[in-house]
Amino acid sequence: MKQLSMHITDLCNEKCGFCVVGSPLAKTDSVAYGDLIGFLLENAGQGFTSVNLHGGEPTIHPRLFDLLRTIRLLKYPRVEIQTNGRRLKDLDFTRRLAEHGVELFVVSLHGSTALIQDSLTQTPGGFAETIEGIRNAKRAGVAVRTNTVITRMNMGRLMDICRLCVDLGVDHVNISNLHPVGSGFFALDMQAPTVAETRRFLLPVIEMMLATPTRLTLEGFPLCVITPHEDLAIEDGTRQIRMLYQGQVHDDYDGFMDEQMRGYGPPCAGCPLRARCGGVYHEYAERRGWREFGLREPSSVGG
Amino acid sequence: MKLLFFAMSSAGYGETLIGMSLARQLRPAGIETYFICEPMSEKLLRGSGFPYLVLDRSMGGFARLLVDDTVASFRPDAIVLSDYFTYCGVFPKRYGLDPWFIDRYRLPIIPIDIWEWANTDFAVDVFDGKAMTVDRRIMEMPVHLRPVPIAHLDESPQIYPFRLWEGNERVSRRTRDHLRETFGMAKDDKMVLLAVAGWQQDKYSDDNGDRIAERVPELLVHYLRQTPPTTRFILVGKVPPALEALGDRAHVIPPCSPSRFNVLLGSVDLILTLNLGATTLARAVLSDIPGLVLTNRFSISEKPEIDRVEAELGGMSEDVRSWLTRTLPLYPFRMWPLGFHRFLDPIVADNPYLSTFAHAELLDEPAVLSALDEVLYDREVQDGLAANRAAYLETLAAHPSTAEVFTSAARRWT
Repeated sequence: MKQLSMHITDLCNEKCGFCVVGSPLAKTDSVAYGDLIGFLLENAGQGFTSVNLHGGEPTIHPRLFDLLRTIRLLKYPRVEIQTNGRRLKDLDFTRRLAEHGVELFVVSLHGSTALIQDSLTQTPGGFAETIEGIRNAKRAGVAVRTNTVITRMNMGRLMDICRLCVDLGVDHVNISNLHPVGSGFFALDMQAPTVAETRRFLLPVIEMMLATPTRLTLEGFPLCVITPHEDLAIEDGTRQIRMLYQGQVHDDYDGFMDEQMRGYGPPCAGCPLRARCGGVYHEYAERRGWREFGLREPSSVGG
Repeated sequence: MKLLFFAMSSAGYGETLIGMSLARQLRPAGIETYFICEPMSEKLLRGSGFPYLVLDRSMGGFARLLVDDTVASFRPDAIVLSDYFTYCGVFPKRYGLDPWFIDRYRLPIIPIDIWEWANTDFAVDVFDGKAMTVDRRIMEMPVHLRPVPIAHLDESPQIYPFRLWEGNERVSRRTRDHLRETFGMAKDDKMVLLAVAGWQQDKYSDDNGDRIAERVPELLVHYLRQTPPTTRFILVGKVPPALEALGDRAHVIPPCSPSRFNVLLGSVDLILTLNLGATTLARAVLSDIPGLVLTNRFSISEKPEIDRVEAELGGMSEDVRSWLTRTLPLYPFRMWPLGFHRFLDPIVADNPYLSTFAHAELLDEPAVLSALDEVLYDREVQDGLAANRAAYLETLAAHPSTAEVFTSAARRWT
């Protein structure tokens, strides 16, 4: 997969406490529309198989449809939008997006109930809109991948969230590790689960999901945390993502994340998974140290 | 003009931040700066736009060669010491160098004079009975740049006060609300930033200093636990173990980049510190954020002296008495765990800065509790402090811009 990835706005209509972009902290939008068009022009005809729009919340961008028309004009084959799905509650809007070439919505879903989701997103009423948005996406014939950030508030309901996704006909469920940057930096202490907590709640969910036709992937986890399911890591080395983020271009997004955002510690020395593992988020290790990490048992896949 | 800054603090960020603030304020006037720093300041300078060189104590005397090289390539017009005290101490202690090796560059040396050295006797009371003598060389330097606060605004042919901070760290209500929710607080909960720097938890190879560093947080926790449950505490970086007793009411986050720290600082209801000279406190005041400083003026060597202190305070709680009994001897401090009490007398005298935040004596439990309660919950006290801050900021605003101050100062050495 060779993907062009664009952060199109810092602004958002939700206020997730773990937002990696720090959208709730943004005072103004730092993204210039001209830069987006320039990035699309510069990369047109370079073999990119999709364009991924994210933010902030892309669906609140005032020139979203102009952007989609440009993408189509430049003959990019496919468009994906990462969204909280709230604006998709409007079926006409969702259909228009489909007509403009959007083939996948990556919808943030962090709760199985309004209580959890709306607390985590600090947006009363948001859950109902997101669920309706997912339904509308399916009605409009657009594939849906959900993204759930595992937190201390929702980890006990991770099973319910995944079951809800299956019931809604979601095509692909992705579960992400909390990345403590942006707003997430401030949420680390309260919201980031320990390794033991993550494994306690994540592993049974993986077993359940593997018995369904819905695809499951895991993102941002050190491989020792998700063993023996390392093969579910979305960073599988096959993705080639060129990203424009707040004026900076990252030629290899996964490489950037591994090199700049994550690191290795003493337990990683000699770990058989190390060559494939992106490591631990620096901020997490700074706060909680390294003792939790490392393989307790040989890995069936990596070791 | 080109300035070479030495920001050599190896313990706290304040001195480097003051230098960076000065450099930032001079940038629009076309003044170029280059920083020489210790590794701990690198995270402040990285991404700041200022070029810098990191010296490491493992370089020993060879560090001078790198400085030589920097001077040769950057070709500064003057050297700025950020600050004078730090500069004097670091090179002999960490590099085995006479700090005045910079004389051979034949450049004007401009000290940032945080502590108003001309008013002191160049002896700093550090711990119980332990004083540090400081080089008087600054008196020969034609220009002293004094950051305000904490310094007075008074000028003289040698003294050039400049505004420490130009910016305002206040954030939007949306950001404040968001952070409260993120920390799991209700909208009206009070967020208190406990400003405890890494150097305040260091070991100083001094029994008294190390004991006071360790024990004072116990007393602080005793006070903080008596505040209403709606009072929550934010700590950044390394946290004294005793403060873990605050449990769920304390939120600890890792060491911050300057931009993250600004968001945090701008969002809190109060800065609580045991360091009167804290740069964080000065930034808070300049951003109109309330502050409370706890200091200790009592020297207590033995148990019988506790009664004298009790009489002076007009009473003493059993908890404080018990804590004192376990902790003695106690020395006066304004920059816990460092003394800096007598040493700061001149700078705090008639200084309007001190009216901008609340202050309480650490051993006076009712005073500490009432100060905490008042700055957080009493509108009248809050308004009074806000009015003092406003008056202080107005005076500062009337002061010439830092670029103008610097231009006047430059005339003295050029």
